[in-house]
Amino acid sequence: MKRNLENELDLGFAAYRAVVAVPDARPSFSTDIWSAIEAKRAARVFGFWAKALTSSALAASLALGVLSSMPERLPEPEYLAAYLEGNGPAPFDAELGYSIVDSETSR
Amino acid sequence: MLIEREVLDKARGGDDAAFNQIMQAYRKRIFGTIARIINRPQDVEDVAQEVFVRLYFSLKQLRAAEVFEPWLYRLTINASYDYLRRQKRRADSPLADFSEEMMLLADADASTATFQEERRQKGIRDLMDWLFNQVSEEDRILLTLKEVEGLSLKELQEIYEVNENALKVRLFRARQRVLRAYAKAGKEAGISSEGLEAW
Repeated sequence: MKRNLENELDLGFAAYRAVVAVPDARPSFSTDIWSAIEAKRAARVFGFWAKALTSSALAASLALGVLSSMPERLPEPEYLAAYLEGNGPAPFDAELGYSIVDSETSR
Repeated sequence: MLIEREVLDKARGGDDAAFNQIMQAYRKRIFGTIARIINRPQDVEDVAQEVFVRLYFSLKQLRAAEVFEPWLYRLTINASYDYLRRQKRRADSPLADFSEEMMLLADADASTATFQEERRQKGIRDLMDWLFNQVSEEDRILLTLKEVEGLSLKELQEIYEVNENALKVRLFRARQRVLRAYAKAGKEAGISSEGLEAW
């Protein structure tokens, strides 16, 4: 006789449904869940602060890195002009025939 | 739904007492679904615990109260799937062991009626477990939900968020793969058709 596998499988599923063992929950089931929830919550809080700390440390080191790699800032143009003027050659006094600075230094 | 919408809303708002109510209402159903999917009574509670912990932390993401049950099914399926994947890393039960079970079934004359019945039930569970181990976890879960849990196509559509045709194709293919494994079990283990028909 030819077997009807489809039919046998259907019977198998039905038999399995009838015999599958569904256990009862332990009395501590709810308590255990709340403990697991609390543990996960604590881990999340810790994870959040650890992440925040790591991120801020990373941001700070990046900022310091960027600052240290920047070229030194040039003085503003007006200060630069005054600086150049102050350090330029001493004005030449035509009447005296030498510069004021030279006369002072030659004394 | 097994709970009032208000209870769900309160739980979504962080009310622990409301969440306890949800646990009480759905515990039995979730235990049943997990037991049928994983077929390991000793591990059902651990997987159920994982489902409820995931539920607690993702309840705020629930779009609407109407989709709560399919959504809870998805959480249950995902936790069961993770468990099955972990189990699969262990060595698969050899077909020889299963064959021995069937031999014991046939040799039950000398046993008491209760013992015979226990052996028969164990034989069925072991055969189904072996069959399901021959296919992917996805196939196992889909077929369990449809053929053992008895969910309708509409319910499965909501859980899997796919259209009817796609679901039917997936079901058909999964069933074909289990059928091939079933035919192979008969041939390779030398189990007579009477043995398998004696479900």
